[in-house]
Amino acid sequence: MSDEKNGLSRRTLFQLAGIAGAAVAVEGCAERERRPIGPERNVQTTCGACPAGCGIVVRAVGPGSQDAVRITGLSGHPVNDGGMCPRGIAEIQNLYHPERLRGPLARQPATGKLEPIGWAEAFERLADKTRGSEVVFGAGDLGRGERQLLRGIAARREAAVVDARLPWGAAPVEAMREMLGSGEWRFDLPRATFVLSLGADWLQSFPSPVEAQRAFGAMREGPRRACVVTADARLSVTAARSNDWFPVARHHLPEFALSVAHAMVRMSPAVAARSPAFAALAGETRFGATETGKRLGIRPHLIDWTASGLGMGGVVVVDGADRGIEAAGMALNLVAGAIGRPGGVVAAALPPLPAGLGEPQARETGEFPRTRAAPVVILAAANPVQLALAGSGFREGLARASFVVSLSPFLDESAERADLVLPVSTPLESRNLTWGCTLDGRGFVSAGPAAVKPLYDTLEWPEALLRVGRALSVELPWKDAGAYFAAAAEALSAQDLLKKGGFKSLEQDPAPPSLPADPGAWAAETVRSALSRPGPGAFPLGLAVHVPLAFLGGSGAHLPYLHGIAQVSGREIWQTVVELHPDTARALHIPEGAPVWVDSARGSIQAVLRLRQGIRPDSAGLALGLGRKALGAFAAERGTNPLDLVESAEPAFVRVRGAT
Amino acid sequence: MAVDLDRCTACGACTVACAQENNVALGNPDRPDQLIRWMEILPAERGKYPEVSARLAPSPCQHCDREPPCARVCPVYATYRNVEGLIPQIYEQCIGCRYCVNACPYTCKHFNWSRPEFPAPFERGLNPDVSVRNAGVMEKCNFCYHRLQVVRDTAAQEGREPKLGEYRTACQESCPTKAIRFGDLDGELEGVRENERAFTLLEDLGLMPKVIYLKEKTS
Amino acid sequence: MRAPVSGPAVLGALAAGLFGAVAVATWAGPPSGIRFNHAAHLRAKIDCTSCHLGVMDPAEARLPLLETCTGCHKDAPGANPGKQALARLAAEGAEPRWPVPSVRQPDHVFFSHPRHVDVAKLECTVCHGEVVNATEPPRTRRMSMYACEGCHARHPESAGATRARFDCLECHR
Repeated sequence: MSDEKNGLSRRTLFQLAGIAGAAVAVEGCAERERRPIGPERNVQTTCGACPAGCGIVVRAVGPGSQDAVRITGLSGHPVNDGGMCPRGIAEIQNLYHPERLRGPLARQPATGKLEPIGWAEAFERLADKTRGSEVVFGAGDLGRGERQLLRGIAARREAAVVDARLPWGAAPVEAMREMLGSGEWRFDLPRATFVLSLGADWLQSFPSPVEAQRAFGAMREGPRRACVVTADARLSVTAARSNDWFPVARHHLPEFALSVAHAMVRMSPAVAARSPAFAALAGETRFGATETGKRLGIRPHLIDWTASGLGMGGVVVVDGADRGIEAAGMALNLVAGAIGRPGGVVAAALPPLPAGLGEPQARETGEFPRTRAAPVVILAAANPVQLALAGSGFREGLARASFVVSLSPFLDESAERADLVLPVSTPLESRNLTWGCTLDGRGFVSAGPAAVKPLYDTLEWPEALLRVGRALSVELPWKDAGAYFAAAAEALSAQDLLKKGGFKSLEQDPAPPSLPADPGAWAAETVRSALSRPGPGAFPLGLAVHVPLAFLGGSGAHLPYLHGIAQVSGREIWQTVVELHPDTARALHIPEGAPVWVDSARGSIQAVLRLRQGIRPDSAGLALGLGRKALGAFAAERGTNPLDLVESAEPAFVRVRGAT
Repeated sequence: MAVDLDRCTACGACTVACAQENNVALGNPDRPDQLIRWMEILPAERGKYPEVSARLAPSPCQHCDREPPCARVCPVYATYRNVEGLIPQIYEQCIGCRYCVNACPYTCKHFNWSRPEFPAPFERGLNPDVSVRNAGVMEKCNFCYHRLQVVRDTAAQEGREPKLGEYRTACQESCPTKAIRFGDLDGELEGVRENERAFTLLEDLGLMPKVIYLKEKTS
Repeated sequence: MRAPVSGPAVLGALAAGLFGAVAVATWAGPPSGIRFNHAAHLRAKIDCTSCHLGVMDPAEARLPLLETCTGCHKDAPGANPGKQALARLAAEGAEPRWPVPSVRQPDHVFFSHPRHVDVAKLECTVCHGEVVNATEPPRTRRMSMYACEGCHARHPESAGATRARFDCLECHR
């Protein structure tokens, strides 16, 4: 049988195959080695993924307990009571992300490239470049203390601070300031009995995400279940979890609010007394339920029903995206008597600020200021290249800048264009001391040590900011982060909390609000001008943008586990979908799943079409968060960025057409 | 497990907590269809505009109590029903034939089409209590069984029985509204099956899943 | 016609390669210079857990840290090469790099020392008997599933042992 002529007999072949197979089996035995677990530590501290200040427990294993492998919520904590949000858990991936900055970088004039540089030299360079220059700060998602620190530095340097946070999901601070005297008010959702959301997807985008979820749970409990209704152009997650969804186009939300106010004014004279100016506007006949219902395409009785629900003690939730909508919503709160009422809009009780963190504090603006000469721009957790709204002028400001500094753990889209990149430690590598006020108005302090030692040559936020301040010739009371934390902890009586991790609730009543004479006057004016904004024209579809909780604040796409969290309209993974009603798509002759262009007066982006019943036929839904241009394989060049379509967060209009 | 759909806000904390706890593969942006998430929030939109509603249901492995289809078809006993009613998946035993994916009506079995890679230093965040799987094996929720083992060991070392509520799954622990409850059907979850809102998915298949849903209350 | 490569030669090369692979896979790795003598230490009536800390604790810090050794070996090393190596490490502040553990399991096997040592109260020598008379560091070996199974089969009264016999999940999670 064997063919001896060729020297390789069949028998030999089988023997060879057998050995090859065995060799493969042995190769397979060289599996992953499991590392030792111990020693194991559970570190109690405060989450820093967003400024809310949830209490967490970090399980750290491995040699020296430096591998963070699990994050769970701290039971009893006033903010989260053991619960977590997806972002907080994903901080582990943030900590161990391959794209993290390992040390400071500076752009070398010779090569035009960012090259590693030492910290001392980095700050010297910063001092050099800022001497005699105007400085503009961009402030992104910073912790409370860090933000105060930054504003203090800016004020002493007479530098402007631009608020670089995404307005969607942010608190309606402008309306609160204008109408209620300060931005520190809270929507008391846990005690609310009737909640109307005016276009705010608060279960997905909210300043304190876990509190929003918990509040929803609390609202569902007990004999008196709260009634939750949501007015939104699309069936958002919040709308899906509401008792009722009112499909109201985004640009109609102020009118909707006026119509509800109109009905409330008719029901009770006390309503009008709370804001004569707003009541006067709402009282116009065009805001009657029938007329408004016809204009907005919703049934009039829903307006009356909402009015009676609000009148019996409800609260209106809005975010800070659009001034017209936030004014209308807060005015509705005003006339409904929700201001200062439990379950309504309550004043925040905050602990007294640690000395040095008070005035002077620079006020943040939404727009990049006009500067006499080319400014130095310092970005603190800010990424205007990716997330700035065109109308803010931030990108133009960056282009004009003489020197750009980025403080961030990553080389994000803005850091890539910077002249100096100062890497900051991620929250798990940092001490955390924060204070705030829960939704029901009670103050709290939450603090904790770093869960693990820094992986790379990075600085904690307070340290980085203090050194930046020093480079700008600003002297603050603390020479370094250690001194800052010690002083702040002492002022808040939280030394133990900082060392061992923990929280405390503050038993103090909020400062009694001092409201202006007619708090609704500003709102009436603002809403009136919002009403005269142009509606759809050449671009017939109302743009309904939302920010999924996974991509809170517009970031998070670089964290693998945040992909695949389903949205209401389906499982969107690594692509940007545009939601359209089937009738709209049919009229456009575009089938589901087809690639499309979404055009606006400003620009165009590509998306994939998804059909759903849960959206107004005259609207198009898009999610923010994807469309990154940096941050590695999980984020870069996946999906597109709807911010390219808009000037601001005001209601905008788009057109959809097939891309083939 | 009891999932109260009235309380769930579809925040996704359970999905991420589960992935982090169980060393789930990160995913490949070029192959989104092969993404593995043991706990998935299944969206189901109903109705016609404007009367539209949606149910968002967190869905792990349902741990069928009666003749789990995956266990019936597995040729190598890589998945079976253990004495406590849990349906494990034994990775080293699995031959990757994927009969169980076909058989499972809840689509909660996930196949590793490629070797899960954890680019450095992601691997530092891997849970040392749980395997890291290889290409060609199935995986699925196993109710965080490794946590039960830790609870049992600790209790035995302290000379006591495990306490009620001590064995918590990652998803349950992370849930901010406490929509997910977990435990012994005769212990922590006593009475849940008799709740008037209780139902299970695909009830008429008769598989008696151990994940019990409580439907939304009508206001 | 003669083939360019003879079959037996290829066979031999593959076998050599295979043998080499297996040898590398099971070789203990470069030692830290301390050729630990278990027999001598056991003769001195030192308890296993004095050095192998963490067996009672899920933390598994089972191989001794430098401070464990220098806790006793504080004096001048003299002629003993092991003590000299220890002194060198102590001067450098370095941790001893022990050979890989005496029993090596693939990463899909989860063995719990606390369960066996603290709860079942087994003597260490039941599984690690080979160190009693070992004057050299023990060679790494695999402990097969059947060795564990053999012991568990003899203890039907133990719920844990029975679970481990019949429920793969107990060890292969």
